[in-house]
Amino acid sequence: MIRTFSSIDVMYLVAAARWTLALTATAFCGSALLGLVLAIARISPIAPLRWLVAAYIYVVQGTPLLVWLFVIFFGLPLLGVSVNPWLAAAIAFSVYGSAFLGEIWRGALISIARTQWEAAASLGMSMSQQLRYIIIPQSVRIAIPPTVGFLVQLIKNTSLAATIGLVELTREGQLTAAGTYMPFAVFTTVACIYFVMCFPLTQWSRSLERKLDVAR
Amino acid sequence: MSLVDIQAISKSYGSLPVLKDVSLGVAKGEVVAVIGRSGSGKSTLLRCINGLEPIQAGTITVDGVRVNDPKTDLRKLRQEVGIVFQSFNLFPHLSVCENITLAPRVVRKQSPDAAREVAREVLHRVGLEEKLDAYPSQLSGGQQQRVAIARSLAMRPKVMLFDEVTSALDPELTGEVLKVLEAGAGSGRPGGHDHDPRHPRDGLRASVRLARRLHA
Ligand SMILES: Nc1ncnc2c1ncn2[C@@H]1O[C@H](COP(=O)(O)OP(=O)(O)OP(=O)(O)O)[C@@H](O)[C@H]1O
Ligand SMILES: [Mg+2]
Repeated sequence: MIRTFSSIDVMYLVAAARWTLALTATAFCGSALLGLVLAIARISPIAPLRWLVAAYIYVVQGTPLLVWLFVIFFGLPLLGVSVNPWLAAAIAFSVYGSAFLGEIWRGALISIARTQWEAAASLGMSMSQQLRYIIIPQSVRIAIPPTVGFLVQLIKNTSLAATIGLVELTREGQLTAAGTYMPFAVFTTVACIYFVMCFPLTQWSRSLERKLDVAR
Repeated sequence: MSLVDIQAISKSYGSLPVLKDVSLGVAKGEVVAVIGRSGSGKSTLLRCINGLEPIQAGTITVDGVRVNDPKTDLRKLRQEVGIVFQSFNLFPHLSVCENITLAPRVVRKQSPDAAREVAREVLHRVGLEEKLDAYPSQLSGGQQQRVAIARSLAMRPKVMLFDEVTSALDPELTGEVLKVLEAGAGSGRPGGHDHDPRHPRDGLRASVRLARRLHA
């Protein structure tokens, strides 16, 4: 039965956008936790650890996110691990995001002068104290604009989860378009909703960048 | 026995030899100035004493502890060896008070109140109590240097290493700061004891003071 694209459908799209945001938030937390570990491992004094993490980052950055989604969603069940679309998407996006955040944050960490490490070490601080009290607080300022930029990419990339059947904004759009035969109107609305979520972040990232430039 | 005992050390950066067969002993309470022209290796010598730079030959012993022994806990050693860097290396994201209290709090586990008291006291000694809540970027070069001195003093180290101790100070302040250092050494002797560290290059000039201060 064909129905028209009505305000009810728009409400459903907006409701589905909550799942986009939920997936973004989950993926961001996973990416951040893993990314922080990767960033620190990348600057650790243990060379094999650095190589291992570098290899992980190059592999993840050198392969499409969509493929990771499929590998995890269709591959894990072959190994006897059952995954639902939500879990598969959360894992795939965390793997993908950790590699990017790991690189962004590593860049921020190594941008802090070596003399700051030395000054902290000379006061008897341990490696982790140097990181926690001296290096990380200073690198946060540098890391925030690119991290917000990454977040915007992440919001848009969660649309790929539609391919494994997760009903987030894009998937809801596909379903609505199939029901109404009004794909143009539906996907224009979907685009608007993505824009409303991303634009404020982009602006925020810009203003942070400007502030940092002024502070420098 | 000397508190700081340097025996025939050699140090090179890659293929650039900087220290060749340098020996030096500093007794408890003694103030020693190491003098030499720019680029002769004064900073390098001080950085070797607290283990920031590895040496290729010889031995450095501080209070009976071998600096270049892999078994040595450098963290522990550095709590007893204060260093004021040529470029001060204050922590720009922390206030003067936090710069001074951080290591006593996290390394020596002092209570925040006790650490703040010590900060007041050492700042008073360098004549900067009114700058307790300022940030390093709000201070002049000489003031930054005095905060760096206060930061080291707050750890109550057994040995203090000052790199270009009066470089950023005007003549009037130089006298003041030297008095602080001498008071720290507890020797009551005016002036330091100049020492020729048998440097590979000659043309020695007053520049760095290697000072030793008594435990208060
Ligand atoms: N990290 C480094 N890597 C390579 N060479 C270095 C390094 N640090 C210092 N050098 C070189 O070692 C030599 C000694 O440097 P050092 O900083 O110890 O001199 P200095 O006596 O403290 O000079 P100044 O009075 O100008 O401070 C110089 O030739 C310098 O170029
Ligand atoms: Mg120097």
